[in-house]
Amino acid sequence: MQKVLRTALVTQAICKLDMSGVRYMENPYGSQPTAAVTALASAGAYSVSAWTTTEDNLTVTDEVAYGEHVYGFEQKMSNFNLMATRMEEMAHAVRRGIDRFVLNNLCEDATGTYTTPAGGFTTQANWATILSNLLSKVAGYTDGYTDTFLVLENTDLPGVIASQMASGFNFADAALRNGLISNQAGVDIYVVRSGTYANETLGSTTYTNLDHRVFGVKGAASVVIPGYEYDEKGVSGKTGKEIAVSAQVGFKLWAQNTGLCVDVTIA
Amino acid sequence: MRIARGRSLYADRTAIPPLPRSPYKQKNMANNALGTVDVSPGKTRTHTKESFLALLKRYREENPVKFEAKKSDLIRRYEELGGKATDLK
Repeated sequence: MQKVLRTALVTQAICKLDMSGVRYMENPYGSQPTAAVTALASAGAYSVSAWTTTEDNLTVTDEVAYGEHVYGFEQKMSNFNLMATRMEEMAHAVRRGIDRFVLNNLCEDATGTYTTPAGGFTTQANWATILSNLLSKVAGYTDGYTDTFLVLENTDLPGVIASQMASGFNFADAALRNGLISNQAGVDIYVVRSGTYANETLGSTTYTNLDHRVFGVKGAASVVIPGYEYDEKGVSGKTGKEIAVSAQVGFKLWAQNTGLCVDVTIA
Repeated sequence: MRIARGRSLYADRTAIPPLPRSPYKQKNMANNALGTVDVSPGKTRTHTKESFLALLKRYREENPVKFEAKKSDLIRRYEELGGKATDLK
């Protein structure tokens, strides 16, 4: 039986994902100390500064759920294992829901901002400018040297691929062999389907991310999925089984890391 | 992401919470007000003037700082749907 066309999922690649059952993370942060430089001639003394800690935590706030009913006759008259197939499809739909929730949260909570040159990602000449500007936003932090990511929608690719194909022999060769979208200038580029970034209320939060994309340092945000279950049950008055797949999800872009993620506005 | 096959949601609620395997401190915290995310296949929201206005008002309430930062773009989109900036007052 054919699979429904599935969209790529990126949460696991760009966030710290915990599925161990944790439903609360406490992760406070302290104020930033600034050390003074003193000439030795007058050294030997220092002033004691006041410092503070601030609470920061992740809680589980939302649930992604989906259910269907497979009647007995549907299962018996089919040459395929309908229950298993539908369950797989539903599980993917739930994963896709989580992915969309996480991406929109990440884009919304990022405090770094960048507006692309007119034409956005679809204009070939913009691509190198956009990448270098984005990298400059997180450079200079120790965490800026770890892997970075950019999550685009499929409709952004024409300019990106055209630019890669025009970028020198070895590089262009790799792009022409259909392999290079994945990484450029140290940035891992992920592609999701259009409609992922949305002006929409998803669960408990409202987003205005249409024509926005997100760039950042991997692992800056945490995602917990304490429960990810499927349930099949007999329902009174119906043959067959009802299947439900659900997952609870919590997201947090930690306060100290908000500057490591950039809300990219497409001009 | 893996699916925890055969795990019962309801059994877990009464069981002893799993040992912390995260570097972070774990608290057994009840969450009674879960929102739900619509995952209907192929779902993409197309807004009308009214639904977009409602979305903007809610967004302004939830996230005033970001609202101000994105205001001009959001109002432009609202006007494209036939709304007026003054509706947001």
